[in-house]
Order: sequence, then structure tokens, then C-alpha cells
Amino acid sequence: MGVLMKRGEPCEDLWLCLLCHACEAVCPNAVRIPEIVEEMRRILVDKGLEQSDLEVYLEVLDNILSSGVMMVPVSAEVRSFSEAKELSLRPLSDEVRNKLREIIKFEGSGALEGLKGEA
Amino acid sequence: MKPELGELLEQRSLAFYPGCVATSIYPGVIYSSIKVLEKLGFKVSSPEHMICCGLPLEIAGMMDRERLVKLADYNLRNFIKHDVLVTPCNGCYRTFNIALEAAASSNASNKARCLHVAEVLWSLREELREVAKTSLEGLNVVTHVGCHYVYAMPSKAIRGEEGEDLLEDIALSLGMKVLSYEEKATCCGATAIKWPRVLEALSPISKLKVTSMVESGADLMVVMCTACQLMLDRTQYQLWSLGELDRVIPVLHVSQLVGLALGLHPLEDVGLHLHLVKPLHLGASSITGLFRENDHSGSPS
Repeated sequence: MGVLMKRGEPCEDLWLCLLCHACEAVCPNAVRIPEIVEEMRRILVDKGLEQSDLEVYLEVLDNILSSGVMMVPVSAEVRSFSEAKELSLRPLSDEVRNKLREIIKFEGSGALEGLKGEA
Repeated sequence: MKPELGELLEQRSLAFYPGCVATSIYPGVIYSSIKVLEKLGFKVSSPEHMICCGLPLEIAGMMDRERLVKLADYNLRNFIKHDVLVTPCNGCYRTFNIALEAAASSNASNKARCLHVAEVLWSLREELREVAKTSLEGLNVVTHVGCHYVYAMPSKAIRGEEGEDLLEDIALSLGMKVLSYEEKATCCGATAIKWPRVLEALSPISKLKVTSMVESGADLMVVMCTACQLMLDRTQYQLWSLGELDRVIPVLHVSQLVGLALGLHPLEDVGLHLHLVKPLHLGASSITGLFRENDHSGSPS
């Protein structure tokens, strides 16, 4: 653990893991390694030991809370195709948005607080 | 065969959950999947709202498993509203199955099952061969199944029978030639985050994967995960733009591939013009002509 977490400092190595589960698949002791990495990431984020590189994920969070999906349609061509095939997103009601906020409940901490936006 | 797959083939009714990437980047995967499933005799419903499964927030350390389970339950009960959920994304497949296993272990009342659209197509590959309207013979393909299907849910994963994996089985059933490549088991790198900080680590694995697939000489890549599709599409485009790749090949979701074989229009239905790496000849009169170039010197168009 000391290799991956330095007390009170962000840990770059923790974020290099691709969470591909390949290690878990071959681990002779069936250790659920990706879950450990995910939990360690949560600890770092909760403690505010992360930097603004996660800003893009705050944008993802805002998109999910406001429209349900992590990104808006990337181009006018995508929007046109979706409209033509009746695949366009329906706007979320306030009730649904509030419920998502309640369930996801990311409050952030430390360095991320100032970057957290509103839906 | 997985019991839930056998049950689905009997009842032929499902809800199709597209996931975020298909919704916002590759809607041709959604339309192809729905039309292919309908042509195969399934009654397909769509969620009232497309709500993210939560995996992006989980990998960013912003959401834990308990909340993932709550989100999946909310999604299933209020918007998906079907006992059988079929998705074209490995991440969504993995996340919903984790949530449903957790619910089952706590005796929660949600009895929904989550399957992958590739599994459904694989189980009906003999039927695909019979109903295919367009020949894909002559096309060479490389496949990438994806880590969240193979490694994250290994006990549920369907292995190849005629080929090395279920995508190869489907491609072979459609008369395609499947090529091997060295980095077949390598991750595409889609779940790497903090892109600006880990570019040095990300670039090697995605470049390794993409280079290996392109150097096989294949005409196209076939995947079953929309996140992998985005990664392989974008990485090729970026490397080509930087002059680090002199040939690029389209990345098709298996739903799009089967859609072409069943007669869907490459642009109007399958949406191939929306990809970063487009087929060489978008206006070709044959499916093979879309992807083939005599000198194999394709480039994004």
C-alpha cells in the first residue's frame, strides 16, 4: 500500500490502472484488485487529495444530473441522425433530476469543491 | 447456453439499453441493434429515459458500489421497465450485472437480467446466415471483445466455438475471413482517465492495440463495446493526424456489421458516416466496396 499511497499526497500510479480486470482474472488468490483500486480512488477523492485533472468528470457528473447521459451529442450530424430515427433524448423532469442527485450524492471535497457545478 | 439467454430466445421480448456513448456518438449502433433484433423476431422496447449506468463516475472515484446498485434499481424500475435488458456496451453490461448480483444477494425483489446484444446475435448466428441479404464474403476482419466482458464477468462470458471468441463466430457465420493479431488480448485503454496527465501511459497501450490491429491487414475492426469502439476509432484518427499511422480502418460494432449483412443502409441506418474513421468509399454500391481499396491506403475522410 505504501508503494501506491503516499501519506497526504496525490498518487499518480493509482490512476494509471485501466481497470481492465485482467489481473483479477488470473490472480491465484482471486483477489478483486479493481475493487481495491476503485476504493483507493474514492478515498483520495473524498479526502480532496486529487487535482483539477478530474474536472472533466465533474462535467460528466453535471451532464448526467441534467440530461441523464455523460455527454451531449457530439455533432449536428449525430443530432440529425438521432432525430430522424426518433432516438433523441427526452428532457428530464425536475423530479428525475432531484432523484438522480439524491442517488449519486457526490459531494466532493477539498480541491474538487470549487469546481463542482450545479445541474 | 446461459439460462437467461435461452429464456430470451423463447420469449423474444426485451428492452434495449443503449448506453451513453451510443446515444451521443454512435446512434447508428442503436438503430442497427434495434432493427436487427426486430428482424430476428424480437419485440424491442426503449427506456423512457436514457440514464447513465454510473460506471464513468465509479472509475473516477466519485461513486461507490452501493450507489451503483441504487442507480441501477432506479433505472430498471422507472425507465427500463422490463425483465430483460440488452445492451451494446461492455461497461453497462458489467455494471448492471454487478448491481443485479448485489440485489439478488440481498434478496431484493428486482429479478431483471442483463444480456449483451453480441450474445443474442451469437446465439442466432445460424439464423443470421440464413437471413443475410448482403454478402460479406471477401472482407477480412479483426475482432476485439473487450475487457469488461471477458475479464470483469468471466463466469458469464460466452467463449468462441468456431473461432476464438463470439465476435469471430459471428463474423465467420457471415462468410468473413477472420485475421489474428498479436495484441488480441490487450485492453483498448478506454477506461484510462486523467487523459492529460497519463497520456504517456495511455498512448502506448492504445497505440499498441490499434497498430497491431491495422498491421494485420484487415479491412475493418469489429467490436462489441461502444466504449472500445470510441477508443479505437479516436486513437486511429489521432495517430493518423500525427503521422504515426499511415493506414486506418473503420471500427464497426457487431450490431452495425450484422445490420449491413441484413440489408440496412450503411449511412441512413447504420450511420457509418458519423465515425471518425469512415469507410473508404461511402457511396459504394456493395458492402465489400465500402471497405476495400486495392492499395490499402485508406485515410479518414
